[in-house]
Amino acid sequence: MHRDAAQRITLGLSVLLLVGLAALIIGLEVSRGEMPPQFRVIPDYEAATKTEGAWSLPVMITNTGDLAADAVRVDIVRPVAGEDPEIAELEFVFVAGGEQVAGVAVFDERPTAETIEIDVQSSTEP
Amino acid sequence: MRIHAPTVTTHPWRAECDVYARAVGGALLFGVPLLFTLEMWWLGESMSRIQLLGFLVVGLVANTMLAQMSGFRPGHHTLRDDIAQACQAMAVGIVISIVVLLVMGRIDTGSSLAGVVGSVAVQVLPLSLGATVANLVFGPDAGRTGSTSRSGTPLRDLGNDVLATIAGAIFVGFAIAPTEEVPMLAAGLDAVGMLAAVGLALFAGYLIVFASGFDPVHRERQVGGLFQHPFSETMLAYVISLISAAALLYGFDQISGDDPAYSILAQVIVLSIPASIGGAAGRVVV
Repeated sequence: MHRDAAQRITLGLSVLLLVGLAALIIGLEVSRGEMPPQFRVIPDYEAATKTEGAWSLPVMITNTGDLAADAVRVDIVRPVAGEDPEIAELEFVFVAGGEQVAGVAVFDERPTAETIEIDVQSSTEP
Repeated sequence: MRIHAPTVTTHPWRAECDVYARAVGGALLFGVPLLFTLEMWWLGESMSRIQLLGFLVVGLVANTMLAQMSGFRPGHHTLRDDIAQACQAMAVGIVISIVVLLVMGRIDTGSSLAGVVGSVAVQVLPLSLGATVANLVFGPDAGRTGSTSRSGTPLRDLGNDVLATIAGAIFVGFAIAPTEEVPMLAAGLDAVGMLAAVGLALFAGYLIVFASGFDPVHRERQVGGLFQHPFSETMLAYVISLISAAALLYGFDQISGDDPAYSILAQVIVLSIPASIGGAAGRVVV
């Protein structure tokens, strides 16, 4: 079949896209590590807001490992002297390697860097 | 089966746009339910790269074989043409998966490159197969049971289109409405995302009915009434898709009168994308 200029250009772009995707996959495979999932948890204390008597603390969780994780559970804990600690449980169904996900922890008192402890509880392999 | 050109166009770029409109229309029709499947998003992010490459190879082979039977380009094909068409179908699949995943908020600044590449690579196979087989199901002679004109009165045509839109929207939306994906996607949509989702649904509806050439009646724009004008038909069909989506979500207890208005609106808009695509398919087929 004879191809006109338009057909040649669109075919060229299509092949470029396809080869580009394949090259990305190969590049990622070559550069990929096998580091298991690890989580960096960064609460944004300055962005904490008070709504209806409760403090909402935005939290950013990054999987710094190479592999994905299922059922990721992170506890944000505020110890209370003489009482049970206040625990905000954050659960993420799926976090890919290198992916960043966001959550919000809710507390009775204003959360600060001095009053909050972070505890990554568990995750499973997809 | 060889497909003949739906219309005679002289300008090469116009003809090329027609060909890609058919491919995109087919990909949306057949692939969109899978784009709304949670496991499909995650599979690509957790699968090995070798498996992903395997998907691309299988896609290329399967599309080449299907292109021999159908394909979205008119005229006689050689094997080289079929391979070229398979590459183009897969490129269409890549672009559509990126656009839909972006609109649905599955790709954002927090996504890892590996996750994005994996998600796209997994979605390419069903989308590209949809692009390639579309002509088998929606050949240019298939619309309106082979008729190239509308025989009823404008009011009857309007009634037929409304019923076909409702039937198609419910047919496609029924499988997606009860799933967790709808509220999950809706929760991540901000106002811009909602507008983008509306735009995508309108674009898909217009493309499938008027630009793809699947239906010669619509293609020739044989206006039989207010609803048959491309702009008004697309808008009215989308409103019907929205109503159908809301009814389905309500029927499956996904939304209720007690839910926040924003949540209801976001869920209805999310489901309106497949509903709009289904409604457009309904109007093409009936």
